[in-house]
Parts: sequence; structure tokens; C-alpha cells
Amino acid sequence: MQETNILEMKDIWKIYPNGVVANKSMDLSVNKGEIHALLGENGAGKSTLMKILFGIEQPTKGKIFYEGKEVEISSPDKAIELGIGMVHQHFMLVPSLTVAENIILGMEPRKGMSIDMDAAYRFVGEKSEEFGLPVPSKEKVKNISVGMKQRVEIIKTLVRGANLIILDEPTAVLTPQETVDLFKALKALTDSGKTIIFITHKLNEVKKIADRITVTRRGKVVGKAEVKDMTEIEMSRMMVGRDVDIRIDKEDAKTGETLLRVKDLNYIRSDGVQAVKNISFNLKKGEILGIAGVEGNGQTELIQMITGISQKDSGEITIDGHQVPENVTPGFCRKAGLSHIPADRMQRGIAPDSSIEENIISDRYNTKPFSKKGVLHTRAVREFGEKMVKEFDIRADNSQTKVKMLSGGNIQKVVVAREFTADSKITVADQPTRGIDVAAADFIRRRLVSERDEGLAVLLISADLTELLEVADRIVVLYKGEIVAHFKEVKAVNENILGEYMLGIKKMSQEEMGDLV
Amino acid sequence: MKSKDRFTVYRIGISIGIALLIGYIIIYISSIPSGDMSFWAKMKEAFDSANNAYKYFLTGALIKWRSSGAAFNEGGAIQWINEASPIIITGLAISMVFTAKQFNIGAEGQMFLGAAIATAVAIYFPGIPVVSSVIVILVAMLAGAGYAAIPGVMKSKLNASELVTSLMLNYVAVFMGLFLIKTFLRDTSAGSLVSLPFTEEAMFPLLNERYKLHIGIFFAIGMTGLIWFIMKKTTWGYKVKLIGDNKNFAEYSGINSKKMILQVQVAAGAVAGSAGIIELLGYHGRFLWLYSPGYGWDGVIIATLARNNPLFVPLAAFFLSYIRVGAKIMGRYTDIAPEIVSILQAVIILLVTAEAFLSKWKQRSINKEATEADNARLKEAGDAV
Repeated sequence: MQETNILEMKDIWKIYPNGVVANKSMDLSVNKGEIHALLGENGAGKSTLMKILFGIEQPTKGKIFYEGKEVEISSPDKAIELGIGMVHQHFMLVPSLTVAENIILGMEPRKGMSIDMDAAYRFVGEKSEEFGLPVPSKEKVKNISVGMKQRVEIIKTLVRGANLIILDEPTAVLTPQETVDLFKALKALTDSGKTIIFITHKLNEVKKIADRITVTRRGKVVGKAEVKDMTEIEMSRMMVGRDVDIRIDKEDAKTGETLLRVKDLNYIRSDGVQAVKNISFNLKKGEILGIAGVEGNGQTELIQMITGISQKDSGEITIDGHQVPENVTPGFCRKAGLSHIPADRMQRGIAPDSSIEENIISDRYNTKPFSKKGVLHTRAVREFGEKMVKEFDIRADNSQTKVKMLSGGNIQKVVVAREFTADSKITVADQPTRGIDVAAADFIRRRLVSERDEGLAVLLISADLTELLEVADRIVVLYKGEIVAHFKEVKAVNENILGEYMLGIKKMSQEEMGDLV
Repeated sequence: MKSKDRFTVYRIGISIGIALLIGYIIIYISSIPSGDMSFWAKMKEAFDSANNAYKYFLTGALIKWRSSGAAFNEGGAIQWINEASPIIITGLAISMVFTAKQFNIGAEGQMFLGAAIATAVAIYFPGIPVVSSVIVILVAMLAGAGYAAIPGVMKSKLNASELVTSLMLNYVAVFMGLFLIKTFLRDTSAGSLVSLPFTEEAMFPLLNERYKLHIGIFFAIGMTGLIWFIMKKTTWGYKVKLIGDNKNFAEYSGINSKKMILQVQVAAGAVAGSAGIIELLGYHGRFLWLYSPGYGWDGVIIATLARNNPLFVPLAAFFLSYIRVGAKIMGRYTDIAPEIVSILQAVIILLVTAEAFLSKWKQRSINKEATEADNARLKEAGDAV
């Protein structure tokens, strides 16, 4: 195949209004018809670079050449016009509309004043066949699987004339089986002449699918190579800048009494869907129970009930012997001995305009030494804040720095610093390492294990199966709000087995699951 | 100072400068005389009268311009201080609710009703020195708190927008207050609608008999210290701040946000309730407002200028009262309408609150700082290796 250059980004700089330098003189060159992997840790600047390419962000400095011509991409509309499409990590689909309606949104075939739905279905059918991406065009988007939604997103960019498609961490939400399907589809697309930029930090995927890679670290391009010339270890060294030992050595769990007891828990969402169905399990002192499942299978609702954010419809929750009442509040659960690392740290885990120290004392401001008779003891707060900054390696000028000035990984460290020092007996860690750099994630995983060794009970919810297999002592799998599998021995499981249960292909019987309660 | 803090100071300074310039241009244009004159003579005369008007406007509060020379304007200075006092207090009240991101702008009504109800006490409560004043103020605060509780409860129980309810209740408060004065407390011997005079003992002592400098300013400054302490140094103020910053986070941390949202509105209502009565106790000696004096609205302007920081509230209030007194003096000595000050106020608020104003300049300095810091870090790392 003749190698012609389709995209050239030169000397791209991006400095955000809060002073964060996301891109420092980055260059990217992509050939027509290839799958180009943009590799880097979270926070390395790869997503920002792609947002610039798709016109969501404007570069502080730098030039972009597309098909040999210098272009200025001022908005996503402009990018689409040029033939650049992007599939975001979080899908931009309307759940209550059908697949076909989503695809034709903004370019509807008309019949008089109304939309010609027959033509729309015909059009979507033809196109999905042409691209080799079959979709159920009459199904509502809210009823289809994550892998299918992603396919819809890809078709959406294709029918708008995209020749260069950016995929932002497309496999992060997929099970291993769905990933295989996606890769097949991507190969077919490049065979028909499309070009793909694939953002990822998973090395095995790069090896499997990409032709060339560009590796980024801390806002800079640190290497470019042909994939066939590199081993995974070489790539990882390039990406992280040093050798990382990602294996965590841990001893077997020494379990004690039951600290968290969940019995016949049910939750019905406001749209009438029963999100949690008869869930029961026990969590003991000194163990880490992992919860696996494709996002949206009841994890969120389950965690919100356990942590007191929402109220259960029926069932029982007992936290260290304290029965959770009807009108539960997060404050009640905290007092009962629960700490909680929330999945969405920006939404719930921090107060952005407050300082690090103010964020760290939010659950203990009214105890000694932080306050006395309602008056804050500023010095004690400062000392504790500085201590936490040091102990948890939070990268900031000092503990008075506003949290919104920190990077994602450091914000998560602020959350973790508070929750790990909360003097609790149970920690609910919901996606504790999502979207943060490898070093910070490794730190948090190790800390979870060491907290367990000191007698804490940990409930770990994670979309990262490698993390679950690495850290958890037992794993349960959620599918459509139910526990469909329970693995007492994590060593006996692998990602493919978990994937089958997560997709609902298999389901364990009551006997196979053993004593959950 | 980091570039961001420096930037805020610059921005407020530049906003004030631009507002003054716009005011000058308006005065200049309106001063161009008509009649049989050459163009340049007209320009010259407009220039002279605009300069003269601005001289009074900018310095009139402090300096008396006489043909014999300049002298200290004692009356103007005292008016400046007296006018700042009530709006410092409403500014504090608004900054409290704004810190919690509760847009209860009911300070106007709380202040008016507080003053009207406390008027009854100031007239009929037996005169005991000091005690009378204290009780009158407490009653005003209580009334303000009670009135603020209405939108507060409606927000925390029914999730009704406090912005709408408090705004509407301001009108209710004014008419209720006037009803009270007209029906029960009216001085029928007076020519206009005013209340009976207060007892001697309820009144504030005067520091300057001639121009009536009263101790309201000390009350306002004391209140500033108290609110600063409450908001910055107590767990209550900390909770209020967290709720304003991220309510979900506050709840997740175990804070009862509904209770706090009600409490902060009631507490701010108490503060606002005392704003009006101190002026009546210090200056007028009876209730004489026929319509709302607007101190609650001024509180919104002041809290915005002070960025809800209690320590900056007196600065903003003194600034606002300075240009108002200056405008009045200008109106007295020239034929420029003092209402010009409203235009200046509007421009300043617009520019101070417009986030994007000067943001390019801000971004450039941040870019520079970030690049420098980054290079320094790289260098450090290089040295370490």
C-alpha cells in the first residue's frame, strides 16, 4: 500500500485557563488507511490533542494540515465538513429515540413536512451493510448494549462522510468479546480506505490492531514507531518513562466478622426499571469484594443505597451492626462506619473552589482537633492538610491550593486521602482509579490492599477487569441488576470468563455461587 | 501575588476607570451648549463644565470648593459615612446567602419590615438608656429572620426557587410595613406620613451634633467582624461554604444541606433586618420612608463587588456611598443630574461580573506563568538526573 499522509499536526500547544499545560509542542502524523494508536497514560495530553483535531478545543499555538492543506478547525461542524469524525468515550446518543433516528438526526430524509421514516430505515440498512456494521435500526437506543451503541456512533460519523475517525478509548466500556467484534469492524473499515486514530492506554490492544503508534507522556510526544518493531514492554517503558511492576503481591485475606450485610435489596428507578433485583451479599472484615459488570447493570443504584445517597425500595442493609433506616442519609452511613470513594469525583467527591485541606476535613470538621465548640482550629486543619499532601503525594503548591487547580489524578488523591483516613471499618471504592495516571492508580490499589491487611472491609466496583482480578479476594458479577456469578477464588477466573457472565451469556445457579450470605 | 489575584484587582480598577470615562463622556455631550457660537468655543465650554462637574463628583464628598480655596467638607464626609452604614449590613447579609449559592435577594423586604416592626418598640418601649436601643435592634433582627424564613422554608421543604419568592415578598414587606405605620403608629400631628417619634433613650448617641454623625458605622463595622468570624472561622461558616461550592459533596460528606440552607437564609435575614433601623435610630428618629430606600438592592451590588468576602464588603459599600454623595454634591453645584451615578454603577457591575472581560489578557499572563513554571520544573528534574 502506498503511504500517503492524510493528517499532520505540527507544534501543537494547549494551555488551559487554569494554567494546566496539556500539550507541549506535540506533533502527530497519520497515514491514509492506517490504524494509528495514540498511546499514553491518562493526563498525557492525548485526549486534548484529539479534541483540538475535532474542533472542540482551540490550540494555543500550532498548525494542522489535512490532506495536504493547512486547515483551521474552529468547531466540530468544521471538522465534520472536512471529513473528520469522533466517537467519544461517553456516547452522544438520545436514549429514547431509535437507532435509525439517532443516526439521521440533523440530516433527516423528508416527505413534505414530516420525516420519511421508511427512507430513514432503508438508508440506515444500506449504510450499515456497506460498512459491515449491522445494527437493529428500529430498536430504541436505551435498550441496546454498550457495544451496539458504539457501533451506532461509528455509523453516525461514517454517514456524515468521515474519512478519518477518532476513537477515544473505545474499549474502556467493552467486554473482551465485544472488543473482538469492534476490532474486526475497524479492520474492515481501514480496508475500505478509512483512516482511524485510536486513543488508548492498553498495550495488548495496540499490538493486536494498530499499524503505527505515537506515544505521549506529560503533554509531549516521546516516540513514534511501527507497531511490528516494538514489544509491549518497550511500549510501556516509552509510555511511563520507566519500568513499572504492575503486579501487586498480596497475601491471602484473613477475614473476620461480617461488617456489611445486604439482604434482598431492591431498587426501582424513576423510569420504572427495576435496577437492583434481590441482591444479597456479605462483606467481612479483612477482605476485598469486587463487583464486576458492564456499566449500567445496577452498580450505581446498589452503591447509592449502601452509601445512603438514595433510599432502597425494599430489603435490608446493615453496616457494622447498624440497621440502615428508611430515611437514610450519607451522614448516617458515615457515622455507622462507612467511607466512600465515589465514582464521579467532580460531581460528588470534592468541592472545587475550596482548598485541599477544606476538602479533606469535610467529614470530620466537627471533631477534635479540627474544631472546638463550633470554632475551627485553623492551625490543626493546616497541619493535617499538609500531612495528607505529603503522605498521599498530592502534587500541589500547598494544602491551601484550590482543588479545581489540580489534575484528575491528584484530585482523586484528595478524595482517597480523606476516605482512607476516615476511621471507618468499610470502604466502598467505586471506580477508584478511573481516568487517572498509572502511578496514582497503582498507589491507590496498593493502598486498598494494605487497608485490607489492617482489617478494613473493602467493596470495590470497577470497570477495569484487570484491576478487579489483581486486587479483589472475591468477585461477584452483576447483570441486569442481579448477581449472576460469584467467584470465591479469584485465581480461578480470567477476563474472558468474567466477560461471559457480564454479557449475560452464562448465569450461575444458586449452588454454584455458594454461600454469598 | 499570583497573576489570578492580581488580575481581579486590575479588573475592578479598570472597570471603575472605564465607568468613570463613560460618565465623563455623557456629561461632556450633555454639556455642549446650544446657541450662536463657533464649534470650538462650544467644545471648550463643554470641556470646562464637564471638568467642573467631575471635580465636584470625585472630590465633593471630602472637599469644599470655595473662591477663597479648598476646605474639608465635614458634612459631606459624615454623609458619606452615614450612607455607607446600612448598605454594609445588607451587603453582609447578601454575601452570606450568596456564599451558599442561595439567591435569596429578600434583604430589601427584611430590612424594611424589620425597621417598621422595630419602630413600634422604639416608640412604646419604656425608655432605658442603651437597653432600649439594643432591644429595638434585636426586634428588627428577629423580624428580618422571621421574614427570611418564609422563602427559606419554601426552598428547603418545597424546593421553590428562593429567587422568585424572596423577590415577590419584598413588595409584600414594603406594603405590610407601610400599613403598620399608617394604621397604628402614625404621627397625626405631622404633615406627612411619618411615625410617632422614638423615645430619646432608644436613639443612638450622636458623635457630631451638627451633621448628625451617629454610631451606626461602628455597628456596621462590628457586624463585619462578626460575620467574617462566623463565615471563615466557624464550622457553621465552613458548612455554608461547602454547600455553596458543591451541594452534592456537602451531603455526601454527611452535612444536612436542607437544614443549613434554611439556617443561612434565616441568619442573613436577621442581619438584613437590622440594616434599616440603625439609620432611623441614628439619624431620623422616626419611621419616614414612604417607599423602599433600596438598601437591600445595594446589598446585592456590594456583595457582588466584594466577591462575597465579608472583609471586602465595607470597602465596596464605602465606594458606592462615596460616588453617590459625590453625585449629589455635583447635582447641587452644577446642572448635571445626580442620577448619572446609576449609569456608572451599572457599567461597573457589568464589567466586574462579566467573566470574559479582559480574559484574553488574563490567559496570556497565565500562559506565560505556566510555561515558566513548567520550564523550571523541567530544569529541576534535569538537575536531579
